[in-house]
Amino acid sequence: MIVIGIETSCDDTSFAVVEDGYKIRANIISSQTIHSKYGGVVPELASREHIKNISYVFEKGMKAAKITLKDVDGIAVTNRPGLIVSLLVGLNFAKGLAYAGRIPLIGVNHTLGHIYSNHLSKSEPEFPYIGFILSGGHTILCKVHNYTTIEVIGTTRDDAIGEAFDKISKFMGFGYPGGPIIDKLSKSGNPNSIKFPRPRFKDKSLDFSYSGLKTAVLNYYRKNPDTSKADIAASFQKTAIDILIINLKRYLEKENVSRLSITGGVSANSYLRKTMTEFSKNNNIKLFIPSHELCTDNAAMIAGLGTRLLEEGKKDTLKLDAYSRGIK
Amino acid sequence: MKKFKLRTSSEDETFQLGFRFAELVNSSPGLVKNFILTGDLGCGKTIFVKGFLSSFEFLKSEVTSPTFIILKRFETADRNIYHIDLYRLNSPGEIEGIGIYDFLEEDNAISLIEWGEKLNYNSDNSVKVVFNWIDEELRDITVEAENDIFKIIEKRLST
Repeated sequence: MIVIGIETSCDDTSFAVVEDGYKIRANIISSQTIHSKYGGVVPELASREHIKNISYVFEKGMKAAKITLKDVDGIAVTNRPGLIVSLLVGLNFAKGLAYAGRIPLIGVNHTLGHIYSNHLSKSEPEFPYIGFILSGGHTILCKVHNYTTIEVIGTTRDDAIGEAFDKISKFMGFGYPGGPIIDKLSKSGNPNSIKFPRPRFKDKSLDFSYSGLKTAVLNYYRKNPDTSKADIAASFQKTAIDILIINLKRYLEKENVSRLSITGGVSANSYLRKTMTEFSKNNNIKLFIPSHELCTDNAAMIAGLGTRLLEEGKKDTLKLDAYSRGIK
Repeated sequence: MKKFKLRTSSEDETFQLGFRFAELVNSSPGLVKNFILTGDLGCGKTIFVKGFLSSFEFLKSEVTSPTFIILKRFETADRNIYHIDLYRLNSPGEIEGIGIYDFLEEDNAISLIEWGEKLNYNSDNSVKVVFNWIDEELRDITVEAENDIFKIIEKRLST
């Protein structure tokens, strides 16, 4: 079964071809191909940028996978959550293809798509398992029951973890996206040089908060502009990951966890990968983290999850709509 | 444009200020349509919005930063409230490209726009709220509005 995926929920225009739900025949991400094509950074947040990119990533992907529309058994498209005007570009493109080729259409939740990125492989985690979704827009700890059912254990009450990386990077005069920049800078800094606060909630919630940490780091930087930026970055990064570990530990006190999945853009962070690998080893947990390419927003995860939904007999009509909010 | 200054000395006070602005909007329908929120990172813009939306019975935990997603819609019985964040947008084309004017001009809707100064938008029913960082806790907040709105705000906030 060949399913194509289309993803335009935020910054990237992405198109993928996936066979049988896990074999990636093509996975084109605009920021990785088009920027280099034009030799510069093209702002892509605007829906008009998605409009410019979408035919290009589609044609490139179809060519790379060596298929035509006749070979396609299903079309999966992100329809929530995201910026409506951006989602609509992908959605309408998908509808056009579905109509022209009489191909089944399925709408996919972007957040569940991230979780699926660990299933784009033969060694996928067995349900149920515990999952972290960590990105610029999400900080979710959840129990994953199946491809479409997750039980949220904790979520952010203010900023997402990836957002804290981005904002701190920009504030210290570095660029965007901040994740890779802070990651690299931290390697030459001392993670224990500055003690930043960890959030505490009065209730016993396993929620997260990154706004307080962000503000504390910025305050520190405002007051101590001469401190090594590498030390600030490393100390912030350590605290940001500690916050995740603290909640995971608290969850482990009550529940048995044998499989842990980490997905979303922040799962590309090398310190997180190292820390979580050690933690999992010490706690007899089998850890699943996707390859770097599948950590960030991509259409392969959308095509993969779409395949499973179509296999279950689910299908959408051409009336499928886009929604800004999905899972909190 | 008239302006006045006030000071909040905790996150909670900034939250309360947002709440009071929502009460003011509710007591004078149609008076204010947009809040242009300006101020550096960590100055309390999102906290202000949390306070504002708490008056419409949205939970603190429901109002999270819209930086990544740019725009979140909150539906109440009689209007949409948009929580918008232009932090990641730069050019006027990008800002227009998200369809922002459709939201700003939607009937009955209220928009709260973080990094709203990036939007070159003048309207008689806009209120500008500027947040200034003094230290960890203190924030100087300047409220700017057209005369008619200003009088009402001044009266309500000084009580």
